[in-house]
Formats: sequence, structure tokens, C-alpha cells
Amino acid sequence: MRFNRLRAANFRNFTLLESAFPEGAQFICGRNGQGKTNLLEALSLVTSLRSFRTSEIPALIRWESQPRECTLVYEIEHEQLGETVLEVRLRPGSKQVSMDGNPVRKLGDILGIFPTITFSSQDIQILRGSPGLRRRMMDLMFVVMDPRYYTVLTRYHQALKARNALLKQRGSAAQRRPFEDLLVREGWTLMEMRRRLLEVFNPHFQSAYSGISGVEEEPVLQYQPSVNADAAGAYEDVFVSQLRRDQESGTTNRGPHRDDLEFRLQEHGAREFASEGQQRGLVLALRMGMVGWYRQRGGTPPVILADDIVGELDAGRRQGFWRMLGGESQIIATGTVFPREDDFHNWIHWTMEEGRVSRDREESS
Amino acid sequence: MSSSFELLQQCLKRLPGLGYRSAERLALHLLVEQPGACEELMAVLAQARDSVHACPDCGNLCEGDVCEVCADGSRNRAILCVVETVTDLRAMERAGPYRGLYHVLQGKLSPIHGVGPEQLNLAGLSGRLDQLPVEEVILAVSNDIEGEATCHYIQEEILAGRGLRVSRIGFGLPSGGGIPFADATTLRSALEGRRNCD
Ligand SMILES: [Zn+2]
Repeated sequence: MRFNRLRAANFRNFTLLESAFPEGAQFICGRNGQGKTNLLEALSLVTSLRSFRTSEIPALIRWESQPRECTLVYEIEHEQLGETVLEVRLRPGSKQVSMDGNPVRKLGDILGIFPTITFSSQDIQILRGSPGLRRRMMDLMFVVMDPRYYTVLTRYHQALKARNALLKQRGSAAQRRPFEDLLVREGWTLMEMRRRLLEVFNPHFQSAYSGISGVEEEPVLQYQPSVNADAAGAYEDVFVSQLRRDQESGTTNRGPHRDDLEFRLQEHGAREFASEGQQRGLVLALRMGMVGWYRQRGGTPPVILADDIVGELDAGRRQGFWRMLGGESQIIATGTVFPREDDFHNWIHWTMEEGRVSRDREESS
Repeated sequence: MSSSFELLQQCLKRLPGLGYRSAERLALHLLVEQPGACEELMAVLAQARDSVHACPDCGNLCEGDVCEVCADGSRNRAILCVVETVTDLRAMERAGPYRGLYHVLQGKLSPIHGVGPEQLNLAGLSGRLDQLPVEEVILAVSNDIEGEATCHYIQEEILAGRGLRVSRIGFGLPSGGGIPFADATTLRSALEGRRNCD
């Protein structure tokens, strides 16, 4: 797919963000705070209706807007759907989507139909930060890789909320049991899906890493489930064994909502043992691995959004990165200086100032 | 400080589905544009309030001792269909094919909204199963986590050990849709295709 145009009203701190994208690779230059990241964030929302920067919808809506809502209108050229206009309306606590004027009743139905991959300079936090960031990354990737994942994840969290409410209300065992049965069933399905999808993803991750870094360092994304169990029954046993602790704390302590993921390199945890350059290479490989997954799946190639990432890379990885991106996807990148060592793309140069994008007259080839 | 008009408007706005604008429009309509409609509405409302109540047997809307469904001797008393709301019951009646009795739960288990078994019409269900010659119970409750948990609960705590045939209706509707959105054909095929619960 490719974006032809975006119009975002009341998104973040901008009354209006508007941009049209002609054929070719787009590079948007500008000082910080001019809206480059916001523009890419708005574009990336189209894939799973979630931001790569926050899980809070209110943070996306311009504070002064009256009523509190923002509207994103995407004009997209899509291999299967043809020219499509998608409108996303965000209000605190609600998301509404319409496609060519028809409301989309079940949001799960459009997840992954408009694929984008975002490379962000913040991605390094996925490796270094708290487990919640890695779970979020995993969920965002997996809803795209398997449409059933979204259903299972949603059902698990509904059952979890209900059970936690009953723990706080000191509900009886008879009241808890139906929700606990569902929680264990959906939880086990979720764990199996995570394990299986990681197996599918790891080869893509590995070839992306060696493609960018030019070295074989055996990177692995390793699943670290909150409950170590190799069968549904064993998971249920652990779940049951936690009951007293759960009742005392008024919350469910173990389960897929506490899962984690480890980046490993040469059989060591990358968080502690990898160099800065290796860590950057690993998070790039995470995104580039998804590009590879899409290529293998066939169908619509994803749009690639790269938010200010090349500046932090050494020359070798920069070269590897541009080469791996290839030419079949639309690329929209941002930075503070135009790319110099890229022999693989002909960039169209834009400058962004206060939410406005203007095309530079002089372009390098 | 509030005028009577503002009070009326606020009161209307609290009704389901009405926003500020539509509440204002209704208030103006009743007071200014069609005062006659206001008289009529007041009379009808008072009459309905005095005569309509929940059927003591099934929970359906009712004006006499029992509701029309319970009073209808031609209905099959061996089948009982459990629904969440009167809205669901009415949708099933409009669709037509079902000829058994109903039981309205008046909701579903929802711990996050503070709805437990005591808030639902479950005691009534046990009592009716003791009295009626029921052979089959159809659980026509929504397909989400709370609906499924409600079905589990009813099976474990109320139906267990009674030797009844228990089935669930699969609506085959996009999630979010429920009985009110089902047409006659959908409901008929859902009833025919109902699956036994284990
Ligand atoms: Zn009745």
C-alpha cells in the first residue's frame, strides 16, 4: 500500500497536520518539535489503531479541541482495495473508523489491512525498559501476524478484569469460578499463540540482524512466560496455587499479562551484555524482521516509517539499514539532516516547520 | 437558579440515547410546539406506570397477573429460553419461530459493574424449574466473556443435577450484535442449530 495524503485535525498539539506524498521515498527534515514524529505517529495509527508512543488515547487529542476529538483522514492506494479513504475519529474512550464512508463496526476486522512498520529512535526502550513495553510490542506485532490473536487477547483481558474485580469484592468461589475457567482457557491459548508466533518470527529477526550488522551473532527473541507450563493442566495448577496470594493482593499475580521477552545475543541477555551498537542493531532487526515477515507473506507490502533513527547508527549499520529496506515499500523517513550514505533510494526532500511540510526545491539524487 | 424548563431538559437528557440537543428539542416540542402531546404523554405515562410491571414468573413486561407468554396455554412448557433482557425477549417474539417459555435474567454477571448473582433473576429460575415440566433450557445470552460466565454459573449452580437438556444459541452474528439485531431467518437457524452444552 502507499499513502497519497494525510489530513489530521486536532492531533497532538497541532490544529492541522496535512501532507501529500508523491511517488518516491520521502525524507522530512526539521528541527525537533516541528511535528515530524507526530506526522509519522498519525500515519502509523492506521495499522492497528494504536500509537507506537502511547496507549492513552486522550494524549493524542489536542488539549484545547472542542469537542475533545481528533480526526485522521487517510487517502490510501491499496493493492487489494484500490483507492481507499479511511477516516479515524478518536475521542477519550472511543475509536470510530469508517472506510469510504461506511462505518467499520468491528475494529478487529481492519487490523493489519493497512500495514505500516515504524522504526523509532525510542525503540531502544523496548530492549532496555520495563516488561510492559515488550508485551505491548509483542501484542502489536502478533495482532498483525494472526487475526485470532486480537480476539484471544481481548477476551483474556476482559476475564482478567472481571476476576480482579471479584477478588477485590471478595466474591465467593462459585462466583469466581466461571470467570476463572475462562481466564485459564484464554490465558493458555494466549501463551501458546505467543510461543508459536515467536517461533515464526525468530528466523525473520535473525536474518534482519545479520543483514543490517553484517555479522552472525545468533540473536534470539526468547519468550519468558510468567507461568512456566508445558500443558494447559500445568498452567491451571500454577494459577490455582496462587489463589491465596491473589486474594490477599486483590489482583491476579501470574499469567500472560505478566509475560516478558528477552533479547539474547551470543547466548547472553542483550540488556546486560550487548554493546550500544549491538542493542541498536537488535531493535532495528525487530522492525526489519516484520518487513521480512510481510515480504514472505506476500500481498500488500507495508509502508515503512522511520522516525529519526539513522543519526544514532554507525556508518556500516546505516548502509545495511538502507539496503535492507529495499525498494518495494513506500518509505517515509524523518531526521535532522538529509541522508548521505544511501545509494539505494532517490529521496524527495521536505522540510517541516510548525506542522507544515514544504517540498525543497533542490533535491539530491 | 434552574428554571422549570431547564429541569425538564436535564431530566430528559438523563434518558438513554438522548443528548443535550435532542433533550432540548423534546422539551420545546412538549411545552411549546405541541402542548396537546404533553397532556397525552402524561396520561399514557401515568397509566403505563400504574399497570405495567415485571411478570412475577418470567420477568417479561406484564399488565395482568402474568405476562401474555406465560398466560398462553398453547406455548410449550417443556422448553425454557433464558435471555438477558426484555428487549431480547421481544426481539425473539418478533422473529417468531420460538414457541416455548422465557426467563428474563435482567442482566448478566458483570463484576466490573458490580452485578453479581443476587442482582439477577436467578432465584426465580430455580423456583420455576421446580414447578414447570421443563425438559430443555436454552441459554440465549450474549457471546462475550460476561455472557459466557453467566451461562457457566447457571449451569453449575442452578441446572446441575436436574437432568435437563441444556443448549446454547449460537447467533452467528458479528460480536457486539445480539438478539435485537437478529432477523427471523437468523433466529430460526440459530434455534435449529443450537448445540448441547457439556
Ligand atoms: Zn411471564
